[in-house]
Amino acid sequence: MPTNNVQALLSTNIPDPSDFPMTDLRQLDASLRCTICGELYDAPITLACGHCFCSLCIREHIVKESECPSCRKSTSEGQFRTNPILEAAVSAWKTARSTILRLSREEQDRIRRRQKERTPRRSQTPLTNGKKRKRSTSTVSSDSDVVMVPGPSNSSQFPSSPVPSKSKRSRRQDMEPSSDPQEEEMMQGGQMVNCPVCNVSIVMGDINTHLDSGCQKKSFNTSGAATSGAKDEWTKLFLKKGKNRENGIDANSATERIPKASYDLLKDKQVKDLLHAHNLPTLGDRKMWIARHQRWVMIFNANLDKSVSNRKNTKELRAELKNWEDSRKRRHLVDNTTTHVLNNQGEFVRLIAEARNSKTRKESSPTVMWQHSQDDDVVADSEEEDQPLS
Amino acid sequence: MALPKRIIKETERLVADPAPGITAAPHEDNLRYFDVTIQGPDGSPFQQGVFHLELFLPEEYPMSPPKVRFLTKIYHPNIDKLGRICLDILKDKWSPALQIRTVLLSIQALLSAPNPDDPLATDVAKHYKEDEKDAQRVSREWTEKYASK
Repeated sequence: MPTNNVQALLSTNIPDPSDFPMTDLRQLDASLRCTICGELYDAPITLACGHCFCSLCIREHIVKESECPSCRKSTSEGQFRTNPILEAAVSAWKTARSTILRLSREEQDRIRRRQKERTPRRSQTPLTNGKKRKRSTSTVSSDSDVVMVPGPSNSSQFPSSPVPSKSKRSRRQDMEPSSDPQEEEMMQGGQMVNCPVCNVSIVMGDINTHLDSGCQKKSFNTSGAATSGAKDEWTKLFLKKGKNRENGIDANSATERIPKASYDLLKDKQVKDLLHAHNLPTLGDRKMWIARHQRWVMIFNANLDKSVSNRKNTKELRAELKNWEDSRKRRHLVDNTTTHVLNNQGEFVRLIAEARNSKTRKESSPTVMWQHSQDDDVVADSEEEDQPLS
Repeated sequence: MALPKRIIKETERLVADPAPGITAAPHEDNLRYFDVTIQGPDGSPFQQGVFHLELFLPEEYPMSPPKVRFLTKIYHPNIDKLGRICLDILKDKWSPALQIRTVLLSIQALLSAPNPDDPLATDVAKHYKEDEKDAQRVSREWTEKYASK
């Protein structure tokens, strides 16, 4: 069993920039990957600072920290902008990637073979001269293949890949300095603030009334009156009619993101209604309902950040939610530490005694050791809590 | 238990292409638990030393920082006698864009640049502030005593 695990891990083949033998292609592949999950961007979101992340990744992050993971500039959900151009570039790259990978590897082999043929002469300098040119032309030729390849396999949806990927790069650089101050101006000049709970923009003076009403009364003074009206409709749907809806809200036809709910202000029944509105199970306790709804909002809203043709349907999203819940169940999450300690007291006492015994055997001076081993127990315990996941 | 792809990728890279002076290998029975060694940086009192650390990736990683602790005794103002490390990116300044590699490089850098103004081991920090030369001498002694190869 041992070593096998590590070996198996190391032999798993997950697509990664390092698959490419050439650095320029590695860079291209890396530049289309989210720095949070390391995958090719899925529903890319651009923040005001210009940095991009997968929608689900950044939504998960922002629950904990309202800073850009790359530059630490403060950010909020209100700043999220979808990036359909980058999304198209990623889609194009996804289709072209395997072909380019194959071509670049073949090219690498060819270079190596040619080098072998020539090596008998062993004179490095003149060789590299000729070789260098060969190599650079070969890279160029594989690049021109890049342009050719996505054409047929990809013609239905996207333009040839190199163009969008380039435009994405320059885009990033251009946006970084300019967009942030603009955003700030807009926020402050208009006296609009984002509700810290539901993230809808509200006139500063109205924010307290809005919060007191549990975010139900939407501000009507938002910059886009139409959207706020639509949001209002949705909230009504969620909070009131939700129960009566048979199929829940369909992710395919939905256009509005689900607003966050301030769960602390809601009664159990209202939290359940939130779940009913999306036809989600109400298994478990209040804590689970809230966690489920929060995750659903994330998955649902992230799905809307994809271009329409890439969106998943409600069924797929529900399956995603279920997977997430199942993976969570396997974690030993201790909700009530006091009862947990009581229930497992015997085990803890045994472990502590065991640790102390082994310490005593090892060390000679009992007084110093006593203090030390107690400290060590604390650390060991906290790790034990984390580890049973393997 | 499926390991997130990101962790697999990071592990592959740590093993295949390790950062200079740093090794990290996952435990056989728990792939989220790593045995780490960091070489003391040249020009620091920890030069020539090889320090063993343990690193654990919690379930929430990368949304939560890895847990890292020195197993080798070290005389450093930001590392206490239990091996716990005072480093902002391991606590509130963690970002999911950081990686195991970057964390270990930061720890290596911390060995080069102790920060006695933000101490974890107060007595060591006091020593460093009052008589840096002498404190570095002790650090060297400890390195020789506990961290020699």
